[in-house]
Amino acid sequence: MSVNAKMTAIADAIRDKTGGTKKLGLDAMAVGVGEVYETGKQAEYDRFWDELQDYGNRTDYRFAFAGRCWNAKILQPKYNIKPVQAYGLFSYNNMNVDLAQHFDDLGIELDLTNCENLYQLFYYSDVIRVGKILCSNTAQCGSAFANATKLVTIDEFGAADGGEITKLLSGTFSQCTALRNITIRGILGVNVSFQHSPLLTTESIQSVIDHLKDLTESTAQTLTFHAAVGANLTDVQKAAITAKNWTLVY
Amino acid sequence: MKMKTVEQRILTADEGKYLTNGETAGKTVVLPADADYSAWTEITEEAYIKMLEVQLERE
Repeated sequence: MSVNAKMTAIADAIRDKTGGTKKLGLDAMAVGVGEVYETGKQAEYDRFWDELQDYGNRTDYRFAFAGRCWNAKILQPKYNIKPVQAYGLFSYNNMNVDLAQHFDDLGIELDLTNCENLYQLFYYSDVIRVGKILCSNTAQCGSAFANATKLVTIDEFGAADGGEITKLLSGTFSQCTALRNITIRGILGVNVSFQHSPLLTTESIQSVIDHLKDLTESTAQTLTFHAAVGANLTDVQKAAITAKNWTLVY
Repeated sequence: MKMKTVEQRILTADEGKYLTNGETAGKTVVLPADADYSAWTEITEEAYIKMLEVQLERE
């Protein structure tokens, strides 16, 4: 094969991979080799995430991004994440970042509004901030944030439709020792504990109190705060809690 | 103007002790006035730490 034929074959191969039709000189071929690499990289990214996220149709995300291998460089989803099952989804992962910002930067939405199971959603995760964690009002929320010891902010937490979270467990925020900011949406109807969160802001504390269900006609539930938070509650706040037939513990 | 009187029962644990209902625990428990406070018992700090460990394992 002549040198000319070999060069034509290389140009054909570049055009085949990059999809171009233009005649390629030597300089363009040098650039083309780089384009082949980038095209291959994109194709591999697409192949991986198309498969992992079922072309955006995946709804069962149980343990999908669980484990220390998942960090911000690797967790670069192609499609929105809209799970029905999110059991352990981000558990034990190495996302030591603002997850809400990370997904915003990628143009990805984490939508839990149809989610039935958030059990251990961020269990032992290194995440620092999460966005809206608004789920089905019947969702299992036990240990959702438990042991996420670096978690500082939960933008919003509660039932997506403004209804009542009925399967919140006392361990949902267990060991959230860095938690400062949380805004509650909807109603908290069952025992809830922030026992290990001494840094909650005044606004966060008030948000929790304001969203406690009025239980005056039903069984009392308990609201537990860290001793440091409880010591700073005002008489008005304490009265607001017990007036709704909640027992305050700190 | 609205005025509402809210009565409460406040339980305070003795020095070195905690109050628990088996589910949660703390040094102070503020109950609605007509709530049943018999469910709350005092435990030692050692028992409290053990309770936290059990909770951690359960989660």
